[in-house]
Amino acid sequence: MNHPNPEDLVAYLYGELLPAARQRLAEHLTACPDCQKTVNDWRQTLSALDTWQVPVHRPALSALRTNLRWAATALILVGLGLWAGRVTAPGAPDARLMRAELLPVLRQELRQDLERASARTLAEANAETQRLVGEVVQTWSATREEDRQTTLALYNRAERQRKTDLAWLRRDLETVALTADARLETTQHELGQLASYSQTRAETR
Amino acid sequence: MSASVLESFKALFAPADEQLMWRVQTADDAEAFAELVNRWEGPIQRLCTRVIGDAHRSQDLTQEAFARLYARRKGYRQGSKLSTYLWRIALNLCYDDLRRPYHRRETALTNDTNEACSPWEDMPGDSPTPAEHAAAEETGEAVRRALLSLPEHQRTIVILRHYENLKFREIADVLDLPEGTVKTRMTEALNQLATLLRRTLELKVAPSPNRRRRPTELSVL
Repeated sequence: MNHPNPEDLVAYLYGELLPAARQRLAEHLTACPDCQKTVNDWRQTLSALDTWQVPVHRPALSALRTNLRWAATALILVGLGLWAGRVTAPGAPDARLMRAELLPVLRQELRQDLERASARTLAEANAETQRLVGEVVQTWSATREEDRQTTLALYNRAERQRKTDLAWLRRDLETVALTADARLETTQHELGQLASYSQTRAETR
Repeated sequence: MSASVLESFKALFAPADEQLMWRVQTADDAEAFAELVNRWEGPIQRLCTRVIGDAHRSQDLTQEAFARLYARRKGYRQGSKLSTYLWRIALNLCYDDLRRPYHRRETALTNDTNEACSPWEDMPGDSPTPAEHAAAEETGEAVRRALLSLPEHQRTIVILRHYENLKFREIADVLDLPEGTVKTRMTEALNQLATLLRRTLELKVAPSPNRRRRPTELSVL
């Protein structure tokens, strides 16, 4: 015998099987004591679960106020309906029929309104996002440009300083060279004088 | 006007939960939010009480659930069921609460059990004997303890299916599980509960044929 799986049994217990499946399972239960016992045990358990009732504490005033508001609305609407019925004379349409006819139309209109509002909200959100992204890009570009200018200025300054230093170095080198030339000439002249003096002394002896 | 007729009339003109939530999302409509609270306060509080086993704490969690619903109103996606969103908020709060160390679960419904409805209260005519009333309370208390002994994921499914009457497919949406998994866990829970409650159910006092009747008139001899 093919037994149904427990998932089907619990679905059967809660009336969630499709009619054909429910029928098949019911027929199986009449012929299978084991499955029938399982279902009976579960039914007994579910009955026991019903004995645990839980109170709900809610502010009595808000519930009363809500019900009074609804009662007042109901009275006004019923009164208006009666008056409208008397004024519009015989042949007034059945309220239930009108409601049944109007309800799909109202739902359709509400759905369209909701879709339009959603689309509008989404478009506005997208536009705002685009604007914010643009601002971020602009700010970032401006920051980068500023950094570039600062770096360029620093570089130019360093370049000028280098040139200044080079000019001083060149001047110093030229000064050293001139001083060295002058000293060499002086030394040559002194050496020449010394040589002629030595020769003169040697001749007079 | 009786409560049921008033409720039917209200249902005739009442906007759907999703329409009310639309108003809350787009216009911060306090009236619409109050209506949602009015509709869902009871079911959410019952869910919290049964999941955590503490009626007093469940009132706090219920308020927190609606505060969170309002705070996250922009996060609700139109097109999905509001009830699914709200059940999830409440369950997440319950699970967080269960992980807190201060839990008062064992002191939970001791007082509230006495206020709970007896299945015989509304029956016309005969009133239960004290023994029957005590038996009902004892069964209710045994059920409470048995449910609280189940793992959270099984307990939640039993509560949503049996007490809040959600279909298995709806429970699967709330818990973000496959429907087959939901049913499997339900069967496991029912088997466990049947075992835990077997002794209690066998000892349950059956209605006695000699139960006391309320006197309707005095017989004059």
